[in-house]
Amino acid sequence: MTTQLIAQARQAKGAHVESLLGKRNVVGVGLGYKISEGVNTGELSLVISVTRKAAPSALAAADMVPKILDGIKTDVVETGVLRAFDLGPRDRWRPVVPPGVTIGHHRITAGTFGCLVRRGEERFVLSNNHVLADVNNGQPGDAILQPGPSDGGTADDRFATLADYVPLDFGTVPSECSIAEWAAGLLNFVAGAFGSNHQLQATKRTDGINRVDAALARPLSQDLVGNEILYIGVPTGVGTAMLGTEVQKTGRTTGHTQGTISQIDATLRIDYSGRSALFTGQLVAGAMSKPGDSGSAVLDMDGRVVGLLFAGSEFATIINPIDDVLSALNVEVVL
Amino acid sequence: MVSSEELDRLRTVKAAYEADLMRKANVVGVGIGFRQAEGQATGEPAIVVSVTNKRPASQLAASDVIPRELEGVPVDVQVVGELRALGAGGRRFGDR
Repeated sequence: MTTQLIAQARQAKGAHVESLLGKRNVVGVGLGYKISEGVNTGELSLVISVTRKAAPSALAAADMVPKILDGIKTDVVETGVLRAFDLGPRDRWRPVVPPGVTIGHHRITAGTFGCLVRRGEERFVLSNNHVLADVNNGQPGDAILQPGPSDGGTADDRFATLADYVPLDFGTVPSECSIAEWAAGLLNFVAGAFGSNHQLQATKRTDGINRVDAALARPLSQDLVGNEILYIGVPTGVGTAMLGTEVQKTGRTTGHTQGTISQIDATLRIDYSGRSALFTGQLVAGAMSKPGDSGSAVLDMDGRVVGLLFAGSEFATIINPIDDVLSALNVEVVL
Repeated sequence: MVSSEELDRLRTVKAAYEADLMRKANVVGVGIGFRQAEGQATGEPAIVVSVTNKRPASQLAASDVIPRELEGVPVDVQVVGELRALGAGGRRFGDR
């Protein structure tokens, strides 16, 4: 490839680009090798991109692309309609995955990447237990996908692994575990008779009270994740929501929405696919979310993170106060 | 804006009655908010009891009726529907 040839092609392009772009279906003009029947000929040409190729008979003479322009061959290539690269919250994002978009443990459907947090120098993806840890069923190292499985995510879309989660506590229902308790008691009697110190427990007895639905994922590399929340920007800090605080979030399903805090200090029973979990100390906002928005960071209108969205209904959105989330996981928001 | 004294009072009364309120039919939540009138928040702080759906007192057992006030603090019943974890609909969380 001589520089002289390139200069000649450039000159031809400069002379004809305007008239070429005026022709029907033409959306681009560049320099490239001519492809003939799928084979690269190695011949420098003017590549004319068109939305679709039309037979010469279907075109007005003025819309025909000449075969040669100033001694340089032309090559008409069908590219379709070219659009500004505009990804949304349900798309696959690379090379950098921003908060506000679809993610999920490989066995779930999809939730939202809330915000970027750090423990020391290490950065993590913050979302819900039920998004990253499959409601206590996940193991550290499990694949976290972007996009989430509901949005087409597969093993090839692994961008992080489950790192840590706060277990969801469903407590116990006495009427359902009485037989198991009786069996465990019998086995413990037998174990005791043989001098064993290992006592079996029928079920883990817990108080069944939760403050947060939260988990962390470790990105495959630290530069694969950003801290600029889609449609909102980089958080300006961390804050406390009060009654009447105006809030916003970006989530996988409903995108960027706004609402108002209508309750604080709320105790609520939340359904997890048929199992009920009790939460205390929650924030309630109006309808600003739908399934798939779980894990969204909730910010006030000054850009301070105030909560982590995890539940809701057609009338309400339920949010963990961010201080509880950060202290439970021992992390800070990356500002 | 609610004063911190008012909030403390609401928190104390809420704590005293919360367990009892949570046991009543259709109740899924108890929190601190504003009383609503015709769907709009008034400026009046109240203990907000969230229910899946409202039923007239005549259709409820006496023990399931929610009092209009507790120790002088207004109690407002608000319909919240079914509260669910918001994973996307589909395989695990059911279509909604």
